[in-house]
Parts: sequence; structure tokens; C-alpha cells
Amino acid sequence: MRLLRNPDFKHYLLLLILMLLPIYCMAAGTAKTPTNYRLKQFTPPIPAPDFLLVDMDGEKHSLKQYRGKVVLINFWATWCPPCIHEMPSMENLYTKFKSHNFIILAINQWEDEERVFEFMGQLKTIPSFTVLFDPDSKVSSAYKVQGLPSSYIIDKQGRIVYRAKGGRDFDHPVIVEKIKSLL
Amino acid sequence: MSKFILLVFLSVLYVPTIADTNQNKSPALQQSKWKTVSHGFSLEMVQVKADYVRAVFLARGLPADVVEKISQYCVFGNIIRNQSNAQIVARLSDWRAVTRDGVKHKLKLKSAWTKEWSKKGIAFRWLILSEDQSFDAGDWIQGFSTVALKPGQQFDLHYSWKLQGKTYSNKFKGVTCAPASKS
Repeated sequence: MRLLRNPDFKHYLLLLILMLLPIYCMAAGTAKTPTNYRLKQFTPPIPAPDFLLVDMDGEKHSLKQYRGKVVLINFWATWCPPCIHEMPSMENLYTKFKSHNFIILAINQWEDEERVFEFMGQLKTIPSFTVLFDPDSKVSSAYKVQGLPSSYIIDKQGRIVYRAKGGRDFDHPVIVEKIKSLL
Repeated sequence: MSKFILLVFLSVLYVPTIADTNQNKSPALQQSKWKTVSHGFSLEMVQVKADYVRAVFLARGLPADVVEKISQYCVFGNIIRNQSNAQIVARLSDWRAVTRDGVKHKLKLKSAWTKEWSKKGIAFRWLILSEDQSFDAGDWIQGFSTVALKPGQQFDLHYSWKLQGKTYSNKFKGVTCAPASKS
């Protein structure tokens, strides 16, 4: 503190701050903000719209049939790069919790089974979670999805608890903990 | 002494609020891009050539006349991120492209395009940014914006967003529509 009272030291310190400020500003402007694990929480949770969609094998799935499980609903398309980028992290999350009443429903937008099947074959890791088809985007409209990817986490009571607009790292410890707390 | 501490404190606080705007070329596309971060709001714009617009929309199965119309517009690929800890609201319908002659041009966004498409029985509603956007902490979106300007035409983009009840505005100077595709 005695040093801080020295006027010369104060001037040098101020000069140093002014010299470093532009560098810090540049770094602050260009650095990637590590927010890819943050989710919007709905308090209280809101009822999730039900739906009935078919999977790659033509089997029907409704959201209601998964009551009692935690569900990650992910809206995606093969032409959406961030959708593809987040898929391995979704697979990791699914692998971690699939035996604990956790499922993922990846709802494809505006594409047919043939295209998605071909696309899946090109992936390094083929997702083992369920892929559903929403060819006319009716389900994404019901969820008020503005852009892809968008994800919703549904609790065991069928309510939306969390939402993410844009890609996320779903195997990030913060998200893993959130899922664990819902199970 | 307290003034000095206050000055140091304010200088550090000030950093994230400084707009860092830069323009450079996207190495992948060789198109110009603009990026800025200010008050938690990050906006990136990349020129998109008419050929690319045609390819993207044709691949989604849209009819040739519809694709041709949108390819005549000045199109940008945009990435908008919320880098703050609070919700950000952006009304893109309020944003204006101001050309050298002082004329303010509205952006043509999702609802305007989908309204036209729905008249032709097309339910496609992806790729174009919505007029009203809200981003919770960690949220981001990418999509196209369009404005009725010619290839190579230059403008300043005046844009705004709201963070914690306060409206902020900024402008990208000298934004340029992608040059005409070589035939």
C-alpha cells in the first residue's frame, strides 16, 4: 500500500495499464467466449408440445411415450454445420446416460430418410440415438424454433426445463451435471 | 488514492464494452467478412455470391424461380452470438442498410420470404434469419440476411440490440454486397 501512495509508481502503473489496454481490448474482441455449455433454464418448467413422428425404420415415436424419462430433443439438418459439430458430444452424453432413463430424439428438418441415411454413413461415429423426421417442420414450429440447431431438455414430467439456441458441447461437465440432476 | 483505484477498475470494466470491428477475407470462400463485438453482442457477416445462394437453396429442393429470385438479392451469411450473461433482444426488422445516396434499405428476412413461398405452397422456413431474435446467455444463431441491392453495392449497416433494457446501436461501415458471379 505504501508503494501505491508513491506518485511516481502510480504514474508508471497508469502508463502500463494504458499500454496494455489496446492489447487486452483486441484479445477481448477476438477471443472465443467459452459459453457453449450454457442453457436457458425455464423456471417453472413449461409443458413440452407432444408430437408423433417416424424414425429411420418407419416406427412411430411420440414424446408422451417417453414420460418418466429425461429427453433431449435436438432439431437439426444435414446441411447445418453446427448441427453436425455437436452430434459427437450428443452421442457421448447419450452413451453416458442411456441406461439411466435418458434418451435423445434428434428431429431432422425438411429432409428425407434417404438423404439422412446417406449422410449418417459418412459420419466418423454413427449416432446410436433416435433420429426422427419432421418433413414439414410442424414440430419445430410448435417448439418455436428460430434456427438450427436448437435443443430442448425435457424432464420426467414432460416439461421443458432447458433450451439451447445454437450448437453446444453436450458432454461438457456443466451440461452433464444438469442432466444427472434431472435423472 | 480512491480515484486512482476507481480509474483502474473502470479501465478493466470498459474493455468488454469496446466495439472491435474488423473486416477481412474469409479464407474458405475468398469473400469479404465483417465482425464486431460490442456490449456482449457479436455480429459476423460474410458476403455470399449468387452462385452459392442458388446452390444452397436448390439443394433444399426449392423451385428454380424461387431460387433465382433470392439469388438476385444481396445476401450475407450472419453469425450472431450473445457473449453477455443476460438476455439480448435484436429486432433485425429495425436494422437498415444505408447506401451512399442516404437511402435506408430494410433487410428482407424470414417472414417476408416465407410469406412469398407459402403462396406457392412451399413450407420451407430455414436458412434465413428471423426478424425478431432473442438470445439467452450462450445462445447463438447463423443464417442468411438479404437486402435488395445490386452486386458490389456498398452500404453502412446500422444495427441495434437490447441488453438489460438498454438499447445499443452500432454500424458496420462500407459493407459490400458480393460481386457478381463470373458467367
